[in-house]
Parts: sequence; C-alpha cells; structure tokens
Amino acid sequence: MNNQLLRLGSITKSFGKNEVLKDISFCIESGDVLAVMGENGAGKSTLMNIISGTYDNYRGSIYIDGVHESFTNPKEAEDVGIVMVHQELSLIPELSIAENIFLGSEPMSYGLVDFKEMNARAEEILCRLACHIDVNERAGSLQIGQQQIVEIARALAREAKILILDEPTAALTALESDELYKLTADLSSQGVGIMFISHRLDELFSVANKVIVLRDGHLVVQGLIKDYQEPELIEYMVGEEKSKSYQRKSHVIDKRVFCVKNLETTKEYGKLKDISLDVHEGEILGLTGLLGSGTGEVLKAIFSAVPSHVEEWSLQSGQYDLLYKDKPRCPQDAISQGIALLSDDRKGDGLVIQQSLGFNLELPTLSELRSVWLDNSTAQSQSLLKKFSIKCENIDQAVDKLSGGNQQKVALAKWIPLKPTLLLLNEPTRGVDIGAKTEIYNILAELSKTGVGMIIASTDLPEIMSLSDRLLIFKDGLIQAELQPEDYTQQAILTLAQVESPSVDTNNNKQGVRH
Amino acid sequence: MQVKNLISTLWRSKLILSLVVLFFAASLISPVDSDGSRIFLESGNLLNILRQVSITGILAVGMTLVILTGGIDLAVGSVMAFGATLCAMLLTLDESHNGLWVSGLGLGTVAALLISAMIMAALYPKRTSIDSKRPSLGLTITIPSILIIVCVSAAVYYFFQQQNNAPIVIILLSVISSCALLGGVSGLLVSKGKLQAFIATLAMMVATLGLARLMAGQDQSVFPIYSGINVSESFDVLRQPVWGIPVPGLIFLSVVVIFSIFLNRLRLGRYIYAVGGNERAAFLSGIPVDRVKIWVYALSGALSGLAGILYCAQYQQGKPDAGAGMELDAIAAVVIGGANLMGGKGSITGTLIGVLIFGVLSNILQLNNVDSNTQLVLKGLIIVVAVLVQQFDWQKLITIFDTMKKSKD
Repeated sequence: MNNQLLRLGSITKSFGKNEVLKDISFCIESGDVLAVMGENGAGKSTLMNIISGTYDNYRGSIYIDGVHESFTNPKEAEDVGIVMVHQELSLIPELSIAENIFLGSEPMSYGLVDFKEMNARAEEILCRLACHIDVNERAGSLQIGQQQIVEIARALAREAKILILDEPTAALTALESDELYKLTADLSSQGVGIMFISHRLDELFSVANKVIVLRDGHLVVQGLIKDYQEPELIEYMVGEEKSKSYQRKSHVIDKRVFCVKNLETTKEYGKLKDISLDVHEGEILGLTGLLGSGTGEVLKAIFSAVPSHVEEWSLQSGQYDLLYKDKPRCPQDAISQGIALLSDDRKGDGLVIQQSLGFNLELPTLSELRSVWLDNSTAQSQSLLKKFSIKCENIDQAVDKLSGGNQQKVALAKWIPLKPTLLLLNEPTRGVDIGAKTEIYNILAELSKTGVGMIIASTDLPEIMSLSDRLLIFKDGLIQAELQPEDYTQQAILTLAQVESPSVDTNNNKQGVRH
Repeated sequence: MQVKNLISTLWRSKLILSLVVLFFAASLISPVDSDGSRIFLESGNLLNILRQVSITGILAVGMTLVILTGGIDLAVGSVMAFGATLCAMLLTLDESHNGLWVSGLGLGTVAALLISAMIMAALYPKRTSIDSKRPSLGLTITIPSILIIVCVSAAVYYFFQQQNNAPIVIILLSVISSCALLGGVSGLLVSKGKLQAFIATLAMMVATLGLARLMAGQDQSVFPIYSGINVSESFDVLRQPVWGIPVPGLIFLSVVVIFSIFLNRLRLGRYIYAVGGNERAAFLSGIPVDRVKIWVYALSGALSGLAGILYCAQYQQGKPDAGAGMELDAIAAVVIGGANLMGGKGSITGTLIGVLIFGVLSNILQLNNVDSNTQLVLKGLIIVVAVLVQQFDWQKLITIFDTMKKSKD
C-alpha cells in the first residue's frame, strides 16, 4: 500500500541566525504510527508546529496526499486533516464534553446550535474511542486521562487524517497510558497516520512502527523501529558520552530527621488518611501510585501548602541542631524549619516564569536576609548556575526562554542556598529530556551524600525505582505497602497500586526499566 | 548591522523616545507669544506641567505598586478627596469645634497605631539569623511593636492636648495615616477576604466618597482654607516654589525616586514583583503574600493621602468630590508606562514617563485652546497608541531587515 498521507521535503527553519531545523525529509503512510524522538531543544516542537501550521516562515515543502500545501495558520492545517493534540490540555472546564469536542465547528440548524445532533455525534466519536462517558458532563470534572481522550475525540471530530500527539502520556498513569496505546493502535488500523512524541522510550517501542530521531535540528535516524535497540536510539538522541545511565548508591545514615504520624487531609486536598512516615539522613523515600492516589498531596501537606492535620510531628534540623515538634502553619514557616518543595508544575507554581534567572534563584533566600535591603547575591546565583550546569546566556535571562530541563534545574537550585534538611520533590523530571534527567538524578545523589533527607513523589515507575531507597505505594490517599529495593518490580508496584484490577496486561511486561 | 543596533536601542528606550517625540511635536505646534518665543518651551510653562501632573503622578506611583501585584486600586481618587477634606477640616478647626477635634484625634491615633503595627510586622525578618538558634518569634515582634505604638499614641495625644493649633506636621501625618488605613482595609479585603481587587476597591471608592461627604456635613460640600486667616502660613509652603520649582513637583519627584529605590533595592519591592508574576510560586517560596498585598494597598492609600494634602494646598480647599475620575487617569498613566494589568511587569520610571506624556499632551492642547471634549478623545487615542507601540514586535522588524539584507547579498 503506497498511500502517502504526508511527505516533507527538506524542511529548514531558522530563528534569526540559528537554524533549528536542517533539511528534514520523511513521509507518513496511512496507518503509520511514527515515533518522534529527540531531546528538548532538538527541534521536535518546531517541526510539529510547522506541520500543524503554527509557523509559516520556513523553507521546504509539505505534501498532503500528494498535494503541495503551505499553511499560514493552524486552522488551514486542520481543514486538510492535520490536528495536533498539545501537551498542555486545553479543554474548557465549564463547557460540556460534547461542546468541547465541537468547539468552533458546532453543528448548526437554523442558525442555532443543534445540541441533539452535537451530542449524538460526540457519543458516536467517543464510542469509536471505546470511551463511555456522559457527553453532557462538564469537561472539568474529568480525570486527566479522560481529558486526553476527549482531546483526541476533538481531533477526530475534525476528521483528522494525521494526528500529532505531543507527549500524550506525560501526565497519565501507567493504566491510563495503556488505554491510550490501545486507542492509538485502533486509530492506526482505521487508517489514521499518527505522530507520537514522547520521552518514554519503552512506550514508543510498544506503540510505534516507524521512528525518526532529531538531534540539534538534524534528522539522525529514520526507519522502522523494530530495527533499533533502545540504547542505540538513546545514543542517537543525546550523543555518545551523555547516554551513561544513573546508578543509585545509598547514602542512608541511621539517624531519623523527619517523622510524621497520622497525617490527614480533607477530600479537596487528596483525602489522605493515616499517613505515617519517616525519613532518615541522606535517605530518598519514594512515593508512588496511580494518578490521584495522593502522593503529591502528601508533599504539599508536609510543606503546609494545603491544610492538614497531624497527630505527631518531629523534624530534626541538622543545620541548627534544633528539634521542631510543631507542624508549620504555612510554607513560609515550613521553609524556616528547613523544608523545601520542588513543585510538579514549574510553570504554574514553581517559578516566576517571566522574571530572570537571578530573580528566581534568590526568591526563597530573600526572607532569610537579615536586612531589609537586598544585597547583591549574584555571586551565589552564579555558583548555582555552575553547580547545576544550567545552560543560559546570562543571569538576567528570563526563565521562560530556557528549556524545560534547565527550568527544572532552576526550580531545584533555588532551594540549595537554604541548606534544606528535608527536600520534597514532586515529579522531579516531568517533561524533562533524558540528558537533563540524568543530571538531576546526579544532583539528587550528591545532595543525599551531604545528608539531606528526601521524599520523592513520582508516577514514573522506572524513575522512582532507580532513585528511592525505600518505596511507599499509595492508593486513594492511603499507604498500601512499603517495598525495599530488592522487591522493586513494575509488576509488584502496579498490582499494589490498583488492587481491584489484577489484569496488568501484556503491555506492562514489555516495559523494561529505562536507561 | 548599524540599522539593527539602532533599532534595538530604540526598542529598549521606546518609552522615553515617545516622550521625546511628543515633546518635539509639542514645541513645533506651540503658540508663539509677543516676543517670538515658544510658550511651550518657556521654563514657567514646563514647571507648570510638573505642578499639574504632580497630584495624578503621586496617585499613579501608588497605583503602580498595586498593579504590579496584579491588583487594581479604584479608590485612590476618593481617598485623595477624603484626605483633602480631612486636611482642610483639621487645619480650619478652632476651639468651637471640640467634638470634631476629638474625632480627628481618635481617627489619627487609631490609624497611626495600625500603621505602625503593620510596619513592625512587615519589616521584621522571619528568622533572626541563619547561624544562631531560632528565638521565639512572638515576643520579639510584640515587645518593640507595643513600645512603638505606645510612644506614637502618647506623642499624638500630647500634641493635640497641649496645642490649640496642632502642629501642621501632626495634621499631615494623621491625614496620611488615615488614608493609609483606608488603603489597608482594601488590602485586607483583597488578601484575607479573597475579594477581587476590582470589587473590593470599588466598594472602598464608593464608601470613602460617602465618608468624606458625611464628615464634611450636608451644608458644606467644600471646605475653603485661607492661609494667614484661618490657617497658619506654614501650610502655604506646599504651593510655593522652592528654588524656582513648585513644591508639589518636588514632592512628586522625590516620591518617584524613593519608590523606585524601594522597588529595586528593598526586599518588599522584590516580593511585589514575585507576587504579581506568579502568586502561587511566591507563596510556595515562602513569601508572605497576604502581607505584601496589605502593604501595597496601604502604601497606595498613604500616597493618596499625600496627594490629598497637595490638592488641599493647591486649590485652597477640601472637597469630597474632588477625586472623581482621577483613579482612571492614574491607571492610564501606569498602563502607558508599560505595566501589565495582570501584574509582575512595570516600573516607576515607566509610570513617571506615562504621567509626563499625559501632562505634556494636556498642556499643549490647552495652549492651543483645543476644546476640552476633543482633549478627552485625544487622550483616549494616546492610551491606545502608547500600548500598541509597546506591543509591537520590533524584534520581528529586525529579522525582516536581516532577511532583506541577506537577499540583497
């Protein structure tokens, strides 16, 4: 079958002086699932933005069904069947699911929106996606995984021939991801061409049949994915020496720094109940579970960013040799006890994104200054930049101009001058490329060597398994089990995390540990 | 290359550039007086512009702080008028008004009390020192604040008791602190009450107008003051020139200088940018978000009070309705100055330029005898143009230049 849906002919794109894409050519046939790989900054999103019509200032040509097209805006691309599902979900929470699916292309009759027709067609599309939810429900009430499906339904409602999925599983749990893989397979068997962008190699191997790898704007690999091995592809993505993986070494010292008993929160804040945990000096305690199991909320509750109740609290602050017996009342208080939180949403609540690097790096330290005046702490910030190898032009560069990995390093680095006793990390490498991931892991190892206790919440199983010295499995706001490193297997963790569904299916068995 | 450099330099200083352009345009179209010189460029006229903008300018500085945190203060006009009325009343009181004396005294004292408490709370560093053990926070804050509050109230009480005509400084301070108190209430409603700034300050604007009218009484919508007759001469200094420069202008310029230093070099200034840029991130970085908000609204109120005093000196009267529409002038100046109404972006220098652009424009229109309604239309136009110019993507222009050049080569 030689049914070329999309063919790119030597696409080149430059921003100002630097070329971000050089001479990219490939094609997608009907039913292909193309894995698009590359580190952040390799040019993936630029390429996708060109295909989906966001950028119109490029050289080279795009052929859809053999017809030369040049889009000036995303609407034109949608009209010929190219739809992109962005990483940040963009449903309007106050509208119903059906209204979201047909937003901008509502079926009309006599100049009014035909809700009957709309709901019927929405149901039909969701049916095709094997998803049975009430189309009259508010989109805001859906789980993130379901929202993703609605986004895809929206693409199908526009009769997408080529679907671009930008890190669709970044916010999904293992189970939800499985659903999405099945969906992808279904769609491709219906003849839709799919471009699947992801940092998770294991999933790309299970969903895709073709692969392209971008590095520094060049197309370095193009072909059938079954011809390649994971390590090979990693090497192509990051270059040679960086591809060495992270090896955990335990630095646990048998001295308890933190202990909390019977932590509880209300339903709004994760419905936590009976959470008792302790952390030792230099220990990395992992928390994992399905999305919504409450791991992130535990961190927020400990940091006192959300209201909670505890029965007992003790924090041994190593730096001042003080013992805190009272739960802090607010983040400010928590910080002064020596607790720091790396938020899971660096753009939403981790960084002041439009401000400079220096501004962000100094922010938590400001309240520790003795004087009302600012002293120039650029020297300190400079040394942080070096220590965390944050790539930037200079200290005054705005943070939103940095890549995701570098932003995350800034969000982590800003806490270091405070010398935290207890570091809470919520999804520390979400949306971060492999190179930066390894660097962050090494930084964490370095910190644990200096005796910092850490609690990491992550739904990325390979990550949490390779990082933590001890692992707590969460389900519905309760601790299900505690695992020691020798008992870590994905199978065991998933079974504990979702007791009622034992069918952790074949897909998961295929997933090897990354790196 | 040179064209590109030129454009990017212009881009960086486009605000000041638009002021310069306006200035030159104004001098070109300025009417000429009998001896052939341009009226607009005469020093008397330029100083007059400074005097005219000083009241709105001071309001705009306070507004800048509030807008930087992502809020808005609609009450500045009303609070200014309240301050002007209170100031006129306190200045013209004599022995026959004992009841009012007491109420003024009470209001001033309470305000001073609260303000000093807030100052203490906000200035106090959270942990005494990084390398010493943490002392109990409660006592170290409470003792000095109680001491200061007692001293301040004692001083205020003493002056009011002793002197029949309270010293002007005390009157001015109690006007400013009462207005700061009103601002502080807005801040409290916004931060602790979780009201939207627009709504909280709208309520405050209406209520303050009512308060000022109640205070003035029904028969007196205007409180006239006559220096040398019912007011001591010293108050008159506020409308005289010093070294040739009108005092309101001097006060405005020093407010600008003080508050740009405040924003750039003070911890609280940094907090203001952080709260406006990303409130949640600021909260999670340990910044006392609520306190920062109360502070900016209180400062905006205090500056409105200062503007009210200048109004009172300038127009020789206190008038409850004086502030109508002034909040909008202040907001316009801040927006022209490049601030983002969503918060986190803007500067006092920008606001200064915004205020001056407005002032120069009204002045030249007045000099040319343009009809006042036409002036309003043109003002509206200038707001839109100023913001459009700032949004315009000059970087894109540079890229276009580059590609044009490349294709030529």
